[in-house]
Amino acid sequence: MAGHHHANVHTEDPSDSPQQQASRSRLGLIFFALYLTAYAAFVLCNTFQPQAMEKPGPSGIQWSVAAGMGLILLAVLLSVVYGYLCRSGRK
Amino acid sequence: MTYQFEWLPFAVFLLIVLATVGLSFYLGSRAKSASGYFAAGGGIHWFVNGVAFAGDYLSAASFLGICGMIAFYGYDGFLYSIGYLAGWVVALFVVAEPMKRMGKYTFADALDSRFQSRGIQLAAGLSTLAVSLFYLIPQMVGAGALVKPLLGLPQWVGVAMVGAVVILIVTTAGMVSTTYVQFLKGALLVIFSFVLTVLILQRGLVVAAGSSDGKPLQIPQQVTEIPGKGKWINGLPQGRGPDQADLLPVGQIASLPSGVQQTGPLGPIEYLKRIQESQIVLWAPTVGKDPQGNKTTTYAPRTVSGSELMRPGNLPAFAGIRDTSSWGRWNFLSLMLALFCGTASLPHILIRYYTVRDQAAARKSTIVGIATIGAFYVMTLYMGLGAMTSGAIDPSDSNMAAPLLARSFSQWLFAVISAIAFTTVLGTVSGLIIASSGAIVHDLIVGVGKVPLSETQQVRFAKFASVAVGLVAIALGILFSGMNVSYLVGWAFSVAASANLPALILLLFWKRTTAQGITAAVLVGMVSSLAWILLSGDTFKAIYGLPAEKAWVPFSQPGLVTIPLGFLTLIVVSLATQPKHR
Repeated sequence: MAGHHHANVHTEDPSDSPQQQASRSRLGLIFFALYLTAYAAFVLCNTFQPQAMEKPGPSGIQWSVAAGMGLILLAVLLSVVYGYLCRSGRK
Repeated sequence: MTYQFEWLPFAVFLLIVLATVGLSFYLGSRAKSASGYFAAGGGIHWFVNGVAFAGDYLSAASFLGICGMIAFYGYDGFLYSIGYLAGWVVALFVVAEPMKRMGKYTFADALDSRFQSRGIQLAAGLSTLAVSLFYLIPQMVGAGALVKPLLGLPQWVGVAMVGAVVILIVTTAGMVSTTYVQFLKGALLVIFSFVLTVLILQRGLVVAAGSSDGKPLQIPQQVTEIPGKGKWINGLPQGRGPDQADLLPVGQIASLPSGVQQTGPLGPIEYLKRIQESQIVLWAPTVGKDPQGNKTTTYAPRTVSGSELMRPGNLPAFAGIRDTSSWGRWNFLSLMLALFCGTASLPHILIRYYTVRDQAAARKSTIVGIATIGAFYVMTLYMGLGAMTSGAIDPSDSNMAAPLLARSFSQWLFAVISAIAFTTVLGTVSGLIIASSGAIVHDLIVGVGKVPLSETQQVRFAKFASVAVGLVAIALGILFSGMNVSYLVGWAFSVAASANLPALILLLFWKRTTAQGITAAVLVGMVSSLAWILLSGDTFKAIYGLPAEKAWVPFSQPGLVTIPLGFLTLIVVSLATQPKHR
């Protein structure tokens, strides 16, 4: 039984080269950095400027709600774009 | 509030739960091998797996906890929604594909794929157990909160019921049936949240909903617990008969903009704008004890402007945001960091990467998961605000706001929503118990203990482990019954992020990581975050009954300190244990 937990038991896609893995990984990190920046800005504004978040923003919705909704939509948008780019990056 | 048993909701509830469980029996009858039991044989379609991610992740904390928090405190509950979703970005962009590449059944497999170290398996197995148990507590508490209004049964009965059904599901079937329970429940939850949201927008906003005289309830309500004599409401014994009294439902608007009594149907943006310009009555409890040992909780109404409700800092735990002199801001930052880092460190989520065929399927199912979960979290804001203004919520229990909101529309909807929430708990608890039993058998007994078990024996041992974990979960669920379930989940995220994320990230991105470094980081992260929680003001107050000021740590959420501590430990220990020949 020893060693039965080793990796490499999966049926990997043969067309998936290490170079493609690396380029996807790089793309993932760029998207991650983008989102992290937006999230950090949002959290810091809520922490240190709660009064400013109360003010009305886009279409009259308060900044707190508008930014929060925006952040959720941004996550969905980025993940769909990432999925699309990964797919079109394959040969 | 006391609740009466009613047949219609109970019948609908039973039907949905039985259908879900029956289907899981049917689908799970095929899983006999260890790979089938722990990882569904790697044969789940990516779309099913993606929706199952939502079913796995959107636990009682998301549905009951967040809706309740928004209904009681406004915007702060929505901050949890945002944090919970943000964590998925880490899961997709950083963790998903390597996880699939490196592991087989458990999170420990992935961490250990490069080293084959017993230390790593021990540490990762223990942290999986710790995180899963912490995460189980709020699920069980949520189950109790659901069963109370639905069946008129006490809290502990609900907890025991969920425990029993889940043990049945997990021991008879394993990961295949768990996946389908989660898929069904994830789909139902999102669909019916959408139905609720549409109904809320259709109803619009009404001044003093549910009152007979068109004015919101403005008199304080008092609950006195007298040892040996039960609960008394405003000086009368609690009940619905003559000479008895009960808490009146709350959640009302005091006034709408431009003096109207009701708005009629509203669009999603218009709804939020009207809320901002309304005056809303909130009910905050104050607790006192007299010399005879009677505990009195007074719920006092307070009219607040909608715009104030929609800014951060109303939740008592976040109040520090508005108080510049205290540690409260750090508590909030710490929580938001833990939510961001926690998702990709939750063992019961990570094992879902082993149920699909390859990395592309892992990626695609995460994207489906994010879209489904994101849609749900957008709707939590409407459901929470809908409950806040429904005139139907129980001032003494925030976890029941969502089901009671559904009841303000119809008994049918109430039954369906309660059943979905109940299957929500079932789905998440099943996943947690599978993750725990995998950690016990695969990581600790086979990996660390080197006990030679055949595949069939592993499955049998895992079933015994599931029963044990299930029983512990029932006990903990009864013990922690008074706390908001989303707040409890925040702690589970902190422990997961502190113990698991540093190891996972540095294993992927730092070549000098050593086995000793990983082992140390997981153990230090886990122990420090658990210790921090046990010594925090929140635990002092809620669990030990001591004043929060006596706590040993300055703020309650550990992540801000213990996540960096995990990274630091890994780096220091790895540098100290570099192999001599590179």
